[in-house]
Amino acid sequence: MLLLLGAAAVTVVWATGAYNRLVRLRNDIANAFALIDVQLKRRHDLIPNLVEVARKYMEHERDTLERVTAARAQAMAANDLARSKPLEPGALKSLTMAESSLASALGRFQVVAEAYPELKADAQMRDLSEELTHTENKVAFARQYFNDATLLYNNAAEAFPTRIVSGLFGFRSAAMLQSTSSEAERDPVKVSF
Amino acid sequence: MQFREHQQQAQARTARLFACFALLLVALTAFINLFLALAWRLLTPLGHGFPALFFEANTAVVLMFVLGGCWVESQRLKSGGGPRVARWLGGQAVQDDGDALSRRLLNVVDEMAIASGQPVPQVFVLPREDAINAFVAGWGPQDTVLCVTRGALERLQRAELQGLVAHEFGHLQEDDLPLTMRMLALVWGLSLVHGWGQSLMATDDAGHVNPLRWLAGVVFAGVGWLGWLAGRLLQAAVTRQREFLADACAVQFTRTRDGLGGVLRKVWYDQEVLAGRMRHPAADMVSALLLHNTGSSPWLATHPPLPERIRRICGTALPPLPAPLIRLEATEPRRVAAPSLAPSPLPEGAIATTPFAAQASVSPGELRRQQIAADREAVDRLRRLGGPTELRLLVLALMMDPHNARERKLWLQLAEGVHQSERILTDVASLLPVRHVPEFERVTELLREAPIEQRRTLVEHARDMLRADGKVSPRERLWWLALRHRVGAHRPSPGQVLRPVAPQGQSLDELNAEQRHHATALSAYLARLVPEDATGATLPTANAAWFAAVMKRCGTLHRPAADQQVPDADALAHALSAIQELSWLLRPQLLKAWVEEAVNHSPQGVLSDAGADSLRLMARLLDAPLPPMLEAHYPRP
Repeated sequence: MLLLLGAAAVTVVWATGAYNRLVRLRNDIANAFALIDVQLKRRHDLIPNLVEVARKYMEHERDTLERVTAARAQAMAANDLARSKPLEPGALKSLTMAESSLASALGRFQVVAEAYPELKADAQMRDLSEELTHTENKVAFARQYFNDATLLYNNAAEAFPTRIVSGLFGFRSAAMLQSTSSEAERDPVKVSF
Repeated sequence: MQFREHQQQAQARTARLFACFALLLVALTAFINLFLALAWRLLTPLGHGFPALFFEANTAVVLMFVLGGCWVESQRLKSGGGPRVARWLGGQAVQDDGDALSRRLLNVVDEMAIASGQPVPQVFVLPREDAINAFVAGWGPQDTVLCVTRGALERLQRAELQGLVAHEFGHLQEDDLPLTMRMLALVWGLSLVHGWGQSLMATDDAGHVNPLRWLAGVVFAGVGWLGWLAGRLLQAAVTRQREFLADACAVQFTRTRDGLGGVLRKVWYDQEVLAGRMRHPAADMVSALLLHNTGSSPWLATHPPLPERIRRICGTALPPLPAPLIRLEATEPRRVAAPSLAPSPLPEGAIATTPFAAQASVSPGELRRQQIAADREAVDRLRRLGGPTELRLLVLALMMDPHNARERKLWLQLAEGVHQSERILTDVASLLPVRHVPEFERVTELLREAPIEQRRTLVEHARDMLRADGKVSPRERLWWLALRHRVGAHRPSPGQVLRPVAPQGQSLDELNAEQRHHATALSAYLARLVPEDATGATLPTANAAWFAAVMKRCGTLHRPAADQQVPDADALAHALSAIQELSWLLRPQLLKAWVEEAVNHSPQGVLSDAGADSLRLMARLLDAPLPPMLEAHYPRP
């Protein structure tokens, strides 16, 4: 009887520890997402300025500029969705797609901007695009940190015997952020004047 | 994903070593109890039991010393913060001032902070260190600093700098700072047991030794020393594992092994080929925090051997890699959107003094590189001067205040008819400030062989030039005395030097009253020249504090301010010759006291160039070797 009680006590203590560890790791993922979120927001904030400066020089490229603005609006919506559910594979997938279409719109914009030397020489434009590059570096590292945190959580949730606890309390495995590598994006940007 | 295996391995080994620390404490207590019990048995007749609470008391004493000492020491260590450590080593906080190198460092730190999920620390650079190295210090997220040497900034590619910074973030992520601190404290606690044993063995006031106390002392001292040694070995072993762990973390954060691998190969090259290491004498204090450190013996080394680290990171043995200065072709991305400013014109003075500033958009880093290049060329040209007249003019040019029109006029009169005399002046003007005294020493060494009349003329000319404007500043007098001493125009006769000196003490506080009077006079003279801030302005409060601190080290405790009477020319010469006659043991000690207190009282712990020059001239006047802290101020010959 005593032996049974003791075994039960040990099990409860272990299960509490495992549960707490899973909660901590899951919160780490939310924190890692917040890091990405900050950088993405910074990027989204920079884009209207960029478009504003470019509009002065690129009267005839309305189409490109509008595509950037639209992609930005889409990415911001996807980001809002993902922020509320950072563990949802679906939300993360749509964020990845929206960000990659924003990146490709920006890429197109930069190619088109090559044709406007005055725009490239504009000091404000230079500052903005330099800062955009720096922010993109940071996004890459934030994404990497998010994936590291997700890996730690998934490893803990799926390994036996913690798996029993995660199954009981509904700790589902989280999705990782794929790098922006859709087929469409790998294509070289086509330039047509 | 090999780095994850390396991380797990290192973590498991650290845990095992920590179990060893616990075992060590148990073993220490057990051995002390055992030996004391044996000693008790030997000393008392058979049949007597142990006194009440014998083992409990021994155990309590040992635990009190080790754990209590550990606690006290960690409180003490906690009081020093990260920025203080960095400033103490001569670090300067990095700002985004448009210099591409510092902006690159700040960007890399931002990125690695995100990759590791850590808060961004304060960033410092050690501007005087050419070696490639870095460390983190501080005991909490608020006062953590990351300190990188200038050598690392100028000689690492971006990916490598990222690896270096990532390694330091690895230490932060694995909580190595509190760990290092706790181990330092624990080892100190272990050493207390040994110290207490020694104090038990000491004789009492009457010179007697209590045999029982002495025996207990032997046991505590002996076993305590073994425990301390074992603690040191364990500490070094733990630190080595933490280095491997931080290396693996760096690979995790950067997802490339070429970065940190390249850094370590370049460091290896420096060590093998150039024998490069950090020059600051206090660098040993932070050895456990550095990226790498050349340890003494393999058992006590705080860092694993470089080839082994490179093998683990890169997966295969790779040779060392030379590290030339890099040129930054690519611009580094800007950090915050700044309102676009037209390039601000440099102040007019800058254009007048440096011919390079005409390009208007030269960054501070580029300017410094150009100054260094100009300095090298000037040194090369000056070294080719060989004629006695040219050498004498060079000495005078080095001593001259370039902004003083009268001194300059007199110099030009003396130089009349000498080929390319203007060239000497421009070359001396393009020398770096730290070059002046070493050049002065080199040339006066050459002039020592010249005929006595020429040397006398030189000293007289120097005197005329320095007082051309009607007054002689303390610094000018020091230069002139150094010149007279170096060229030997005033050399005392041999008999005077060799005459037997009265027996003298071994340390500064054993000076007799007359010697102390002269030391006070010399210090009071120097107190007008050191310490200074970087611009050369004197700091009256710091000067008074410096003087008081030096006097305290000479054993004068009371009313230092009253003694701070500046000696006149005669009293100065008198004091100088008296101090020159001090024994060779004492003169370096006086000099060391001056230099160390000057460093302590200088703003941010960095000697000003002119202050260092004054101390160096004084060292030459006393024929004493330069203390390492002063020598580190000057470029190596």
